[in-house]
Amino acid sequence: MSFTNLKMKSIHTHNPVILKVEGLKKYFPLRRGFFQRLAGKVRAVDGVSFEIEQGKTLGLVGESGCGKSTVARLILKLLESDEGKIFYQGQDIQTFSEKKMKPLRKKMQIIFQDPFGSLNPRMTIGQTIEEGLRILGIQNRQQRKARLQKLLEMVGMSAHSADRYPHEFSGGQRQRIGIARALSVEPDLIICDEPISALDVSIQAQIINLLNDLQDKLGLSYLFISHDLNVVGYLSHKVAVMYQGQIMEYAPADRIFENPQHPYTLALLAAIPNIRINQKKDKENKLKVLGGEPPDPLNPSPGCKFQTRCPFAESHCRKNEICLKEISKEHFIRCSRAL
Amino acid sequence: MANKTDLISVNKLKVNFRNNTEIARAVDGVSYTVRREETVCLVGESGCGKTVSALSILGLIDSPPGEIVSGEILFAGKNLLKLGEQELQRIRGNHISMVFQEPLTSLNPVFTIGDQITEAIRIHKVIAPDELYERCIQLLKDVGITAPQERFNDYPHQLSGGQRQRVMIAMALACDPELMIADEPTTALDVTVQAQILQLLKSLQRSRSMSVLYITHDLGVVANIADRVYVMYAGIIVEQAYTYQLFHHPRHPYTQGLLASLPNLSKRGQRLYSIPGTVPNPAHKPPGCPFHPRCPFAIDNCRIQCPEMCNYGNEHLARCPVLYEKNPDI
Ligand SMILES: Nc1ncnc2c1ncn2[C@@H]1O[C@H](COP(=O)(O)OP(=O)(O)OP(=O)(O)O)[C@@H](O)[C@H]1O
Ligand SMILES: Nc1ncnc2c1ncn2[C@@H]1O[C@H](COP(=O)(O)OP(=O)(O)OP(=O)(O)O)[C@@H](O)[C@H]1O
Ligand code: SF4
Ligand SMILES: [Mg+2]
Ligand SMILES: [Mg+2]
Repeated sequence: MSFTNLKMKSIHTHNPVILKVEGLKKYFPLRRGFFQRLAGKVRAVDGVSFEIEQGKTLGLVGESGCGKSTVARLILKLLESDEGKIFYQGQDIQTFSEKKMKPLRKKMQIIFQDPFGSLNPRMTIGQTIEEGLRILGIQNRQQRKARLQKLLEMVGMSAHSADRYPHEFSGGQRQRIGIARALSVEPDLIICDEPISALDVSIQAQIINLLNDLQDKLGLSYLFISHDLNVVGYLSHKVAVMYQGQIMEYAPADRIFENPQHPYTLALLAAIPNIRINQKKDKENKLKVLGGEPPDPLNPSPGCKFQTRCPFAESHCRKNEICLKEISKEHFIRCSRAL
Repeated sequence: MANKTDLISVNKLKVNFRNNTEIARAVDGVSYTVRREETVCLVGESGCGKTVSALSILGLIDSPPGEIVSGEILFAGKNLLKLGEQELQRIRGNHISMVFQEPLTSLNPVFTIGDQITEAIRIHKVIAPDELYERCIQLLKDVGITAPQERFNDYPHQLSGGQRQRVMIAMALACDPELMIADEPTTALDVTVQAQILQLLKSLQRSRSMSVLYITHDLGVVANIADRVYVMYAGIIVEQAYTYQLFHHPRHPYTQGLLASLPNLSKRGQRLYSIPGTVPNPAHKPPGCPFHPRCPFAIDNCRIQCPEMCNYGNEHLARCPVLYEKNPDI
């Protein structure tokens, strides 16, 4: 790794901000019962703010349904937000028309969890990737072919895979193809929505290494969405921990893991089964168990969203809205215990 | 620990699946035992044959396309593979039960959970109605369902994923089994809910002196719950050991590779080790050691002959003579 790369990858140095999200909100209607009556709303994303720096990775973690994918779709404007701002390289893209968005769509790409559903089964790998090159405006067929070979090579696929169809490939290979497709339009930012969760365990490290190499080589920025804290800790420079549509803790990766401060982050970390075990007490490798149930979306109580499960909750946690506070440099938590 | 008696032993089990043109050797000569009051993990990647080997125990392999080619499964002195359907059903009901990965598809959506648990109890026991209700409520309590009286009349879709898995476990406990087979019961759940279910299984295993055969692909879960571990790859067992031993002195290149490839914060900046290549298709397994195309230590012989288990002592066995010759010590 060259010196410049080392600098790019370091947790505590700063690069210019490529994407900034401010107070993002999205509520979905919640329908219940036989007549699908409107019963209330799901606060899928409830005031989310963060920044991603050039060449760096922001990890977004949290349990199923906490709003991670919705954040991704809002950023790409695949979904209209109810409130909030999205700045791409300083421009407020929230107000952009579809026409003005078009060139930006190339700059922000997404790869999905499911490498099976996200490739068109009737197109060869070559056709799929070339589509991106055409969008990029490479008209010359020869140039497109050359670029296609380069992309396949970059993601570790052989040149003759271009003429084959998705079903001929394994999950890991399809994920590589999805990454090549995302790269075809020369993006700056890639949103990775659980890109390795559907893969065989022995293949996951290959994709993690690939994403890391591409970041070093191309200076890509990632929003890396995952529920696997070990992967997030390995890949991310900063981490945002989400619960029920809100960011509960936001800090450089090492601090999230070595000095977590929010009770929810503590609970998440304590729940990861660890492979470091004791000889004597094989069975005493106790996971800390978080009790309680998530809040009822139909009757949200005021105050902290984590109050129903938090071992530290006190009466004032149940009264007032709690804001993100900076407890030490660049380390934010949303908890009444932060004074 | 070593002296507990065997509860079930699977010996040299082979199961094939046949479709019009191909034969997939899904389980290709697998042997493992579960002893009384022991939690044993069967760990391996998708498609390596974990579920098929467990379903064979319960006689639940559909034939065709499946076919149990050879082997035996001994339980209480009987070979389960030789039993008729009626006898098997008695075993399934009274001695061995199973919890599946996806609780929503294994619970019937149109019956309340109370109905389903009482049914599970009634199949195996003649019992008075009010006693039946009491027993059902007690089971729901045992698996940590709060307010069981109110939950009794809920339908599966009214419960969270973790609660549904608890109900599945309650049903599996209904017959007081000696062996519970749990097939990836937490894979669909969040880590915080997974921790609850693992804790629950551990405490039930102890309080009821059950044995548990726990199937997973997650090494973290294995480290947390298992007394002993069997590692499967492409239809065979490649390594077996006590849990501590497996994680601290893995002896098969596949196990070593898997452990080395796990990411975490402390490996930041280092390149992760990654096992090259992909998992073989069970209908086109390579000859010799099925791991040889991906193995950094492979020698010519590995491509020809599937190796035998090498014994490292203390019930630690690994199917790799190459590493054994390098370092046979314990
Ligand atoms: N189109 C929609 N209509 C109604 N509700 C929705 C819609 N999309 C998402 N939701 C709800 O919004 C919440 C957040 O969903 P989202 O998919 O963002 O979660 P997630 O964090 O990505 O979860 P997972 O880890 O399971 O992928 C969930 O409660 C979900 O049911
Ligand atoms: N009904 C079936 N028909 C055909 N092939 C089958 C059938 N059931 C299983 N197989 C094959 O047998 C092999 C082993 O499957 P099995 O379900 O045991 O894997 P597993 O280890 O449980 O994987 P997973 O972690 O994905 O559950 C697979 O390759 C699968 O394709
Ligand atoms: S605000 Fe209160 S309830 Fe919420 S996490 Fe902090 S201590 Fe727990
Ligand atoms: Mg999602
Ligand atoms: Mg399975």
